[in-house]
Amino acid sequence: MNKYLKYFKIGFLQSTEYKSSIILSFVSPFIIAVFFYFVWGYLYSLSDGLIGGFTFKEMIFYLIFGLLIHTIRSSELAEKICEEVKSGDIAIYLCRPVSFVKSVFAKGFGERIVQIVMVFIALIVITLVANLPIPNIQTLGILVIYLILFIIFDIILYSIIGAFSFWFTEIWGIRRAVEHIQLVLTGRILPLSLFPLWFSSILKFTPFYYMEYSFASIYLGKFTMIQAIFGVGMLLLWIFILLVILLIVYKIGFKKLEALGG
Amino acid sequence: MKKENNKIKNNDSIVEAHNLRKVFRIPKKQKDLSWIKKKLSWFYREWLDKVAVDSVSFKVKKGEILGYLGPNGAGKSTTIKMLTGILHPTEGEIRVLNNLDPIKNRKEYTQNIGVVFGQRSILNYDIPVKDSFDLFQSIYQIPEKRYKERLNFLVKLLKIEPYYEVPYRKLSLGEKMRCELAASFLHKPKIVFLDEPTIGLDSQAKLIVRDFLKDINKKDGVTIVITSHDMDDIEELCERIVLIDKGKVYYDGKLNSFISKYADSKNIRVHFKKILDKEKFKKLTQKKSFQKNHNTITFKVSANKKLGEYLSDIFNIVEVIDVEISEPKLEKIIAKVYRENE
Repeated sequence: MNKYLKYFKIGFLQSTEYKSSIILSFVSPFIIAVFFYFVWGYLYSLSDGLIGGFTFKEMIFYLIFGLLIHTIRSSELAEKICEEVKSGDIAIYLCRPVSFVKSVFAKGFGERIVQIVMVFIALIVITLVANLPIPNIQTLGILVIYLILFIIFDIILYSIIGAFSFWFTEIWGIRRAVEHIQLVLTGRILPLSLFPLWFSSILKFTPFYYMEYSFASIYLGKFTMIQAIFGVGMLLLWIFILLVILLIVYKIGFKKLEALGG
Repeated sequence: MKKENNKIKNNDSIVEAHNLRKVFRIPKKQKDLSWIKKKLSWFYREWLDKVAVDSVSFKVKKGEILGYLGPNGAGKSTTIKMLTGILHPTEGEIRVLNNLDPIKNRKEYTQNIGVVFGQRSILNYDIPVKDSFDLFQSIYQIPEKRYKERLNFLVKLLKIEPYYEVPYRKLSLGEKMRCELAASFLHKPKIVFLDEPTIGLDSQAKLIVRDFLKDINKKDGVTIVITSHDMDDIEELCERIVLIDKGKVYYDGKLNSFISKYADSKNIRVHFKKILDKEKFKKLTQKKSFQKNHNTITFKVSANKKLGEYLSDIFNIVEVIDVEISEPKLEKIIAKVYRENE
């Protein structure tokens, strides 16, 4: 078997070692959902039934989708890489015929595969239980592509942040900042259509517009197919840009490691 | 450079370090700075050069077990890191296998070496050891049949069958190290670097590790470079040692010659039946190095004294039943050498 397929498998095995964590990470979003339910229930009681183009029911499910997707978008990877750099374990990759970046990718994917499947099942269950309009097969296909692109995006982004530990001893500050930026800019707690127009127009140039907000909007039938495909294109473009940065950062990082040691 | 290349071409050595030098740049600590200057010091930091390894040259012969010794901070790990291609030497040259450079020919080189760091793990914490081994099979592209045979062989030799399917994090330190060793020898490396493989292990685990290294060295003909602070490891395993101190080679040669060169005394224990010459006996036992215990006397004789003459004196003083002569422990000799070098 290819070595990176093995890394994928190991990531998968690793994620199944901690079953209760996975289950908990799926239950906890619903606690926040209760809070959303109360807040938005009050806001909708003041309005004519439509806020930012969403009905009350749509708004609640929009937010639930956002929370669910968040479960697969963890920044833990940055911390793990930081640990490896700080402890010097990363040096071991230099004395083995294996690429660090590639193995991080393969393992990261493997770790999240269970969660992708669970998110998708959860979405379908919610749709059926809540009696939401069922998306057609093309839409579902596009949504799977979105999920996979989110994961690739996150692995690259948080690997870059993890690589900062080649230069700084602690990176949790940067990691938190990026997490909070994502929390707001991806529309996880407030649909981007409620943001001022100038702001959301700027966001369209960033990858964040095409994440949770686009995903939920596509699911709820707010976006056309063309908008959805455009989003895929934008995500791919950003993934490419970040990938180039990632490769440069690690090249320099490993050079520094060779000079200074772990 | 070309000249050097020719000079160090030698067929029976597998690793050649030539004038290795490694200098680390560390930020200088400035004490008497005002608060604001301290905050800004990141931008105009002064650097201090710290020489970790200084013109170290040595060779490792094919198939030997070389003990690489030195006190804490002498530059042992730095050298090992340079030899394994983790660190770039500041100056000097390393030639490994067939004239390869560890960093430039990393792909080819890493395929043929194993590395064990006693304080560092190469196995995955969360998953069973078996799955980590599986990963190594793929990393080193070991064909299935060869892999199975090799695995069987190593599992038996290291007695790790019971731990084989247990997640790594649940193993004890000794069990972990045995699994690490198995993992590092899976691909039948030509050279293995061991940086303090017995650190923190109990005596039984140490024995297993030593026996394993001796066995595998014989069976595979694998070249081993080992560092350890446990001199029993070195006495058991190594014929040759390289001793470095403060980044420089202090001794390079046979372990036997090292002991006879630096051991300044021998321990002698005489078991006797009765005392023949009471007066002389009294004089003898008043000396500092003497210890009397019932019918035994133990004492030290400095290495340059003629042992035969000394003993014949004793034979005249007491009626001897048995004499035991022993070299001092390597541990003590090494400690003395370190102390004198301070």
